[in-house]
Amino acid sequence: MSEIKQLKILHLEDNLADQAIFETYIQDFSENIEYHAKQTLADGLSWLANNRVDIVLLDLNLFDTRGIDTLLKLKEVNAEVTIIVLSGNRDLAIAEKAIKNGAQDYLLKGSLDSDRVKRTLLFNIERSVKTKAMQKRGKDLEQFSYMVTHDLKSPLNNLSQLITMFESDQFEKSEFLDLAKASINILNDTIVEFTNVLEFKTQAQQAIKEEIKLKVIAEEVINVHKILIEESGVKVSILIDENHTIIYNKGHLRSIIQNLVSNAIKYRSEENPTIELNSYYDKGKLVFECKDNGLGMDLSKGKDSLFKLFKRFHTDKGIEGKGIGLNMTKSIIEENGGWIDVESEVGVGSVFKVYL
Amino acid sequence: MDYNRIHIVDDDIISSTLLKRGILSVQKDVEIVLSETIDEAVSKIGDHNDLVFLDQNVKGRSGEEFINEVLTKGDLGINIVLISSHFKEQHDNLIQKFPFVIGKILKPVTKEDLLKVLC
Repeated sequence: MSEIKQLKILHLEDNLADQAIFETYIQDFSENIEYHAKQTLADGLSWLANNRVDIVLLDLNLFDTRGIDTLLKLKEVNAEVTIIVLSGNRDLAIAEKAIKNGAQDYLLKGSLDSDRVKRTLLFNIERSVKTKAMQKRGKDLEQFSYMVTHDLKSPLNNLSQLITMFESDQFEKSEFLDLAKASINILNDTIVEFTNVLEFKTQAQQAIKEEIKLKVIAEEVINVHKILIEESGVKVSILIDENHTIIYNKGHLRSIIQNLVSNAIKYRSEENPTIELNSYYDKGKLVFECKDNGLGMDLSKGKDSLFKLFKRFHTDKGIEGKGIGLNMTKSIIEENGGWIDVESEVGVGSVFKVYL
Repeated sequence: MDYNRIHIVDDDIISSTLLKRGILSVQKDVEIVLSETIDEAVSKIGDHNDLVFLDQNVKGRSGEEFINEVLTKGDLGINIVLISSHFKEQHDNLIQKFPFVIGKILKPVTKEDLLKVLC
């Protein structure tokens, strides 16, 4: 069996015989592949509207569409998905057109066998993961640059305005100096914060991995927070299975758990605050879960923005923080090939699920 | 134009202090209210004839969120001036979409900017 973990493939093919052959190849390859087939583009698109898929195997000629238009229509609906064209057409010009329009590969049906399909899938999965990681890093960098510009501009603007107003006698010297010093301190703190974020993100891409027990790291984190936990009156339960191990960087795993636990303490409820740490397998991944009965969040205001740099949900509760932790946590998890999900309700609590 | 109250909605306290001082140098007899969060600003907003200087990023929440929350209170007869150190196309869209959003000022706010809005 292959090392592939939980892959979902949609095969758009109007020839039932071809469909059956591919299904056999794929099922032989790995039992972790979920295979779905549709005979028309319309059926495929309607299935895609409700399902996440990793790879689409696409015949350009289906009952309801023909040629490169098939690919374009699919890309229009789902620009992110990895598409491998399977065609009986040997015309190189069409193959080139398909690749230029976003297909990741173009394979001739007649030339395929089980081994070739296996190699193609492995190669394209790897390429797709790397491409998506690069695209994500590009977007992160763009967002980071915007935040740097914005946050450095603010204290500089204040200094500029302050000097102009001081020159026109709107401020006493002592007042001017106090505000100028405060602006310079903010400028300095902001630069330090950004440097820390940048170093952290760089390290996240280079760390060494080893086999570690999830429970051991969780216990270490709770031990570090022992005094804070006692002072805040939070009851922490570690329900993690002792046998759950993962190949991960120890520092990264510690950082993920630490961030989620410290947030759960920070945003705890006033009465009988609890935190439960759990683990289980879901979607082919080991899941670390941090559940609390704290303040909770109204995620209808923007679940996606929860993980953005300098975004905070509890800005009116007088709780300190700059909104960096969750963004860093998400970065680490994604650098390691996982993802994070959250469920929350105001006044009830939050559940963070880390698919490691 | 004379306003009963002027609100400054900005999580940057130094920026608010400077703007407040700038406003008072142009219009001396006006009540100025400071808010550091969108929720605080929404709760403090008056019935009518208020002017709001609204920063476009208040502790991670956008100025548009403030506008949408104020709209749920009905027609309050307020005017809003957007302030920011960096404007995007979406801010021009707010000015076009809502007649009570009467303009935008790029930080640092100058006396000339304030004279245009307040006189």
